[in-house]
Amino acid sequence: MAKGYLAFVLHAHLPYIRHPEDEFFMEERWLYEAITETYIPLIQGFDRLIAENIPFKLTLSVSPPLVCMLNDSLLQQRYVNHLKRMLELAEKEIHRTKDTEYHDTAKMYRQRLQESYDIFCHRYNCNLNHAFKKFQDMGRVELITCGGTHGYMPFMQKEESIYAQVENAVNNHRRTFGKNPNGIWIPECAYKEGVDRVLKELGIKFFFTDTHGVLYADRRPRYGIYAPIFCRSGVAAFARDIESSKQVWSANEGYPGDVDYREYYRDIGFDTDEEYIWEYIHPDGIRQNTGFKYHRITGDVDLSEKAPYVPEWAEQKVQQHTGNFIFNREKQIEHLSSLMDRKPIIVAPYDAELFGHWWYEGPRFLEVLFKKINDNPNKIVELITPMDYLNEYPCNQVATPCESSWGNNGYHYVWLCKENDWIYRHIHEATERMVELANNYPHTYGVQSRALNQAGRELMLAQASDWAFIMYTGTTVEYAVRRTKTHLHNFLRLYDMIRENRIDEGWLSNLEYKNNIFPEMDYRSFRSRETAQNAAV
Amino acid sequence: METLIPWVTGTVLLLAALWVSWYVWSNYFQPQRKAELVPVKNKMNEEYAEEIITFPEWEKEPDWPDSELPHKYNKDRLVLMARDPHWMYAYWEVSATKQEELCSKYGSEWNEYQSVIRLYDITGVNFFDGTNANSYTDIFINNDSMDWYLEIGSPDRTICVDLGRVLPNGEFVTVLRSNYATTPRASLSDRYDEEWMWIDGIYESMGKIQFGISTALIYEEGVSVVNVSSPEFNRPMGNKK
Repeated sequence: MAKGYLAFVLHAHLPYIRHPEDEFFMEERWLYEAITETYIPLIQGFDRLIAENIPFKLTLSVSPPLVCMLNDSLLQQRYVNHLKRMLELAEKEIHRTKDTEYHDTAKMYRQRLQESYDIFCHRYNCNLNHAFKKFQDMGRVELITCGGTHGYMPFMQKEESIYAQVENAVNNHRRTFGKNPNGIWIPECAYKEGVDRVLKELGIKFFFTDTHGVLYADRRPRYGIYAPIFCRSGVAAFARDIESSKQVWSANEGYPGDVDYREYYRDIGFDTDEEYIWEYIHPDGIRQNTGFKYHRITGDVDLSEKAPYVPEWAEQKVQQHTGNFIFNREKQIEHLSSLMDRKPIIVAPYDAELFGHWWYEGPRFLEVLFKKINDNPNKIVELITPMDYLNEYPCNQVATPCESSWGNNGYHYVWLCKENDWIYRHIHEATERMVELANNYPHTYGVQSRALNQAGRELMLAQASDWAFIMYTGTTVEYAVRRTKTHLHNFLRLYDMIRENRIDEGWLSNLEYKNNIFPEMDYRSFRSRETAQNAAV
Repeated sequence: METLIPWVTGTVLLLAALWVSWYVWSNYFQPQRKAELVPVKNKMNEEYAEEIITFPEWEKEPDWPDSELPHKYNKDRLVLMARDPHWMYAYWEVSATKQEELCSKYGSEWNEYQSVIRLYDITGVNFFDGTNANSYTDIFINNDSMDWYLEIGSPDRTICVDLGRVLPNGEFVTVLRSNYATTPRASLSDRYDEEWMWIDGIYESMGKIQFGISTALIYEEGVSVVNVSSPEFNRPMGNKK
């Protein structure tokens, strides 16, 4: 009998980036890299665990922008083209690295790419959502949703925006995965009092906060972060465990920084001659990551002095680190269960893209970890999903979580600083106008209805927290600024057209084709709800 | 020296002519670069419920369309946002109408008077009417700024700000009033009394029982605020009163 539970939560998200006008759009490549390096390796690992009949449990949030991109046939087709180019490059690499210490790694890449092609095209019909749905239907993975476009909820001054974000997310989730999500990953774990009431209305039962979101809740939670609390609305909040996050997240103490793991920053996209690589980087000659990386982290040395990657050594470290992770969780759970009158739950949430994309061995780590937890004779730790935990412990303490996020410093600084504060003036104005439209045009049809839906899409795309985040981090800022401005500009133009009843249908069709997130979009999700109207009295 | 003048004039004229012809050529005669219009076929022959179509390909746009946003929306608005336990951010805009109104009331020197943000600490105040704040601080700001970061200094304080100007006689004139915002908590709660709830709200009615007055309750009361520039921002989210 297990003494406590471990809930692994992966948050898979990428901003909605789709540029039909440009076959080789730089930022679109983020999706292709994540598919090859993260999503497919994870799926591959889960498939192997299922084949071996290992009953693992995992919570996976697939953000609606990602769901929509994975469903999109243009991006699917472009990914296949991308994969074919990479397979071609893999062949060349086999020859180039012949009789060098990089040859085994080159062979590994070729094999993995071939497997990726097979998994993507043949096993899952070019749509990885099929894989996620399969794991869900088998009861292995609890799929949860996220904010519609990953909008930052504490800065949505009108609750209608939060409704629209969550309602469109839930509808999109149901349409793709066949059932309503029980839980949500609130974007950036950013919570503010009141968000939970919207979640409650839309049938969501739990969400996650950073550690202090629950630890600093008012009243003080009896079990700290090792049991969920109920918001007054009845929605449960689970908090991130500090210890387990540090072991995986921390740049210095964390596993991903081990000397034998693969070095992210040495890529042949940057390291080889242009005449060799030009076909596989951006056609304008801009250097890009190709995913062919031949070095290990080695230690605290200059990038040029990194030693060759040895797959077997990395595998040994995976075995070692999974053992260490389980050992630490067992100690932690034994300690906690001696203090608590119920089984503690340790919540370990991570960005999915950390696994595979940044930490190349990450997906393998998870696979081995789940296997070891199952094989472990001690059975002190058991894997669980938050919903299963709530079913086991339906009575929980009531407290109001602390306003917080998982960004740097734990509050809203990342999304409200000198670099990005200018966006809120415009987003708030657009939101007011959108709510006004939704309230004033409850019954529409034809082109008017299409324009209203597109206005909703444009606003939601502008609300994505990714743009503010990129502006804060300082890389590819120009793109984020352009996206924010373009969507808001499109919105304002649509607003005028709708109000003046002169809709440019050609332009609208072009927008619908370009920014086609949420095929099932209903602008009425921005209407003011009963509850809000009453509150204003 | 005098012989140089026709030479210099001639060279300048020649350069100007060259520049004009280049300009005309580049604007009107240079062939436009066009991306080829190639219909891309969906090569996947797997079974699909939908979307087996040929994709229309848009021309690659030479540059991003020009999409500068309006500088102002001509509205009266002052929005206050809590950033972390110690800082808030406020942005505002004063409409032309309001501006004229103030100028006609206080004279054309109005625009010269010092702009001030008056920061009211209204933590625990049931209904803020402009006079009953716990305390207030004045922050002098530039007359032409449209936003400001405000140091609050301590967590869990509820704040409301006025944007205004100080008249020469020392009188403070409010132009706009903000919504209320509360700095997030930054420590363990010192309230230990416990309340428990069963899943799916058997205790739904518990929401109406009030335990002491906390700042949150100010919002739950659903107070309507008068004389506020952006009253919609004061509405608590999803309040079920």
